[in-house]
Amino acid sequence: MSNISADHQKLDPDEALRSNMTRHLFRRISAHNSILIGGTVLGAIVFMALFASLLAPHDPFSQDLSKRLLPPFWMEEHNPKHILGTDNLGRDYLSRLIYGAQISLMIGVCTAIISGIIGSALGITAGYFGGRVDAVITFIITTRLSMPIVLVALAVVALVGGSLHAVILVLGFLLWDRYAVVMRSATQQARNMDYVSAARAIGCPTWRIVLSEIFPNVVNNLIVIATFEVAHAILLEASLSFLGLGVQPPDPSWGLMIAEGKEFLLFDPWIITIPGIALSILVLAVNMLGDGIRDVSAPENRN
Amino acid sequence: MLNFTVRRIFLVILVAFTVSVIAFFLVRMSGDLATALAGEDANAQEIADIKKIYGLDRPLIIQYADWLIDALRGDFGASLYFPETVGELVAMRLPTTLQLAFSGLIISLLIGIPFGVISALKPDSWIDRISMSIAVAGQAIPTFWMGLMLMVLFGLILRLTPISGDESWQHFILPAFTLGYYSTPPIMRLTRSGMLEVLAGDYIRTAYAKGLKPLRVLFKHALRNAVIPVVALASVQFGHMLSGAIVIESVFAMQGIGYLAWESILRNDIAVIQAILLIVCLFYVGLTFISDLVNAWLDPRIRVS
Amino acid sequence: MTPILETRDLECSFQISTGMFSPKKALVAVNGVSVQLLKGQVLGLVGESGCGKSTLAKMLLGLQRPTKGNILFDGQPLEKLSQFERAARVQPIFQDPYSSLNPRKTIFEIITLPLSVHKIGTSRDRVLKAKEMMDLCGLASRYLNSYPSQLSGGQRQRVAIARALVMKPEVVICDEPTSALDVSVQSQILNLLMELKNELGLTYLLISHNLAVVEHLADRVAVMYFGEIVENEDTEQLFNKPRHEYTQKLLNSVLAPDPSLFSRGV
Repeated sequence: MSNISADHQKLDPDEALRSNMTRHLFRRISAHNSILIGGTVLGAIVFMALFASLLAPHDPFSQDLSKRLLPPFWMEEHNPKHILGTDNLGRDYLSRLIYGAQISLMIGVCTAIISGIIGSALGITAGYFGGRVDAVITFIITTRLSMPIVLVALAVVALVGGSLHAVILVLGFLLWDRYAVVMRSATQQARNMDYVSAARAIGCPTWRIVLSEIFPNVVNNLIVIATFEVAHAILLEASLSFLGLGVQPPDPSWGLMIAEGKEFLLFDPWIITIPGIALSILVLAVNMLGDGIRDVSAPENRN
Repeated sequence: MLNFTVRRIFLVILVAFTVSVIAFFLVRMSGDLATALAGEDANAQEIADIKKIYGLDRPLIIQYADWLIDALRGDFGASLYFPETVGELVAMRLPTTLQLAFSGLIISLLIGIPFGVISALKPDSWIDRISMSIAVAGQAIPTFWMGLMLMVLFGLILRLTPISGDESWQHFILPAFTLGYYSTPPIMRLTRSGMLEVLAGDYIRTAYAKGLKPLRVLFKHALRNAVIPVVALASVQFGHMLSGAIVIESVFAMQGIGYLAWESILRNDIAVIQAILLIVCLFYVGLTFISDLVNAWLDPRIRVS
Repeated sequence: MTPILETRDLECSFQISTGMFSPKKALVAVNGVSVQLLKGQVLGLVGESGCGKSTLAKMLLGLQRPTKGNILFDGQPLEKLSQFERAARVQPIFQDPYSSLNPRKTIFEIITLPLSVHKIGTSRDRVLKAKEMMDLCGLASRYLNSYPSQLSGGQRQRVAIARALVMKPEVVICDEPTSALDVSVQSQILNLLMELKNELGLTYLLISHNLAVVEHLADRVAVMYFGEIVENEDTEQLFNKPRHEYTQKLLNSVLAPDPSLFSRGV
């Protein structure tokens, strides 16, 4: 009897439809969840960065060598005035962490904007004009993709000298490839729509077609890529700063904090654990937000 | 296919050439080679002499052509810091990096393919979800920090592995795992989607219908077809690992070309930076070429466009 | 009587590369086409897909440059007109109203795009004009601020017609104007097109593979085959006594008029 009912279930089209719907629903819900979780965490970090001067208990730059390397709250001998302890120069670690969020977010957002402008301009131009223009831009993209980002970024930052602005500019001019590739194919699709032909038949100038007919129809891709590139840029800045060729001391970049803590990792491993966890949480939140937006806006593009 | 290959080779040569131009001029702009050669406290006359001796007073284009021709012969000039020539230095350091990247690749394939297959066999199951979640979470962890934490855990606390250096194969365990970890999610995803597609194919159902054993169908028919695109991806990932080696090698103090590149950038050792930039880029170009060929061989539509 | 729009030996070919070492081949899409559109008439253009109908339409709209030959408007070569001047005289109606309306724009923006591109009227004028055109095309003005996705296929095609006519063009190129629509809606749109033609004194080039539609609407019919016009006759003449072998085949194979479609009186 149980066998028959099992077989019956398999064949029942309503049942199949329902299970398909629950699966779909599950995806929708998990996409919304990841937007919710990612967005909340990211929002909290943005809040922390914006109101750093109010939230930070101490000046992140003020040194006190008598209070070097105080341990954080979960360890013995911690100082209640310094919840996350102090670094090797006696600077309050929590305050540096809070101010460090400003650097990561600034780099992530500015880089994503610069590379977004470069990549979209190249991608839309290639996709819209096609032919030789497309061949040249595709070649530029291919060339860019055959250059290792970290190596080139290191060499260029060494050239201009490490600083917040240098890192933003260098990464901005390197991380545009994904925008270009996606915008190119999205534009190729939009370009073949009849509304573009209609606009051309009206006598609409090319710049106007691109801005008001094509761009609004490809812009949703931009938001998804931008979130991933924010995460990418934050990780790269941390790597560059860790290698000593990014943000320079005494600025509290999280990557730099890990680099400065590296020599103390033998006895005080917490000193690299804290900024590393902060970085991972920030990047994870941004990635979750991006995943969620992508799944909600185009569930079929999953994976 | 032949036509496609020929076109691709032209493109590869063109890209390689452009990359060499960028490698040369990018690094050349970073500092005055003559001043670097003469030393910080050299006077104007000495610098001018150096320029004459090394031919640095000639037009940049000619210097570039010279450098390229020498580089093609394997002569990358002299290092400012090391007694060896740049060619010798790179030859000495390259094997470490290649070993590291290769072990990283093996690790990512060993984790990525089995988990991809299991996820495809049971899509939306807990193991599928968990492996995907770990992959997403792992992408958020900075490589260098992951390396440091592994070093603390396995090297300092558990004392299972050496902490840093590159003297024995044990030294490669942590860095290779760190490096391989980041290539695992894309390999896992591609294996999963490839397997899902193959398993839905008619010939798999035919194979089952013929009464072949499920495991035999899985390995002999399904996996073999699903794994070819993974090979193409792996070749690109190998290139990424050569670049990622810069960070990993400096974390674990391994004497590969990544570490060499970092030291040389800090010291402004121009000839070494140029050589490494060129070599890594050429690796990239070559590996992408292989991956394109594999993909084109698989999917005839690619050849036409 | 000079034709309002005329092509003389119009030719359009594309360079096709077949491989890196083989010479480029020319694909001739339109080969020496001479047709005439008389004012106030409907010229039907039939032929199977890929025969060059759409390329011809594109050239008339200025979307594709002819390789050879001339297009004359009112006896004047069309190249002498700018794209702006040409746009005010010749406008298209496309096949697929899902693809021809920008999904990100409101109906008002879509209908008045020609006015804003040509800088005609103030924004108040444009609202009035848009409402007038919507009324003319049988669309309720409450859709003014709707988006295309909120409209049905037939309503969308009405928007496309309103956009095409807002600048009062003299010639309208209708490229399969109903073939993407439901059968029930097709006759409404065809009726609308004929009413508008009579009311505004328009001239149509009606491109269709539906011979029934062409037979009922067109005054003359041109048959296109592999880029060439093989027959160009009065409608009645062509359908009763087709001369060219291809036309005969076309009529025999496809002509299966659906009487229900025209029972509501076209």
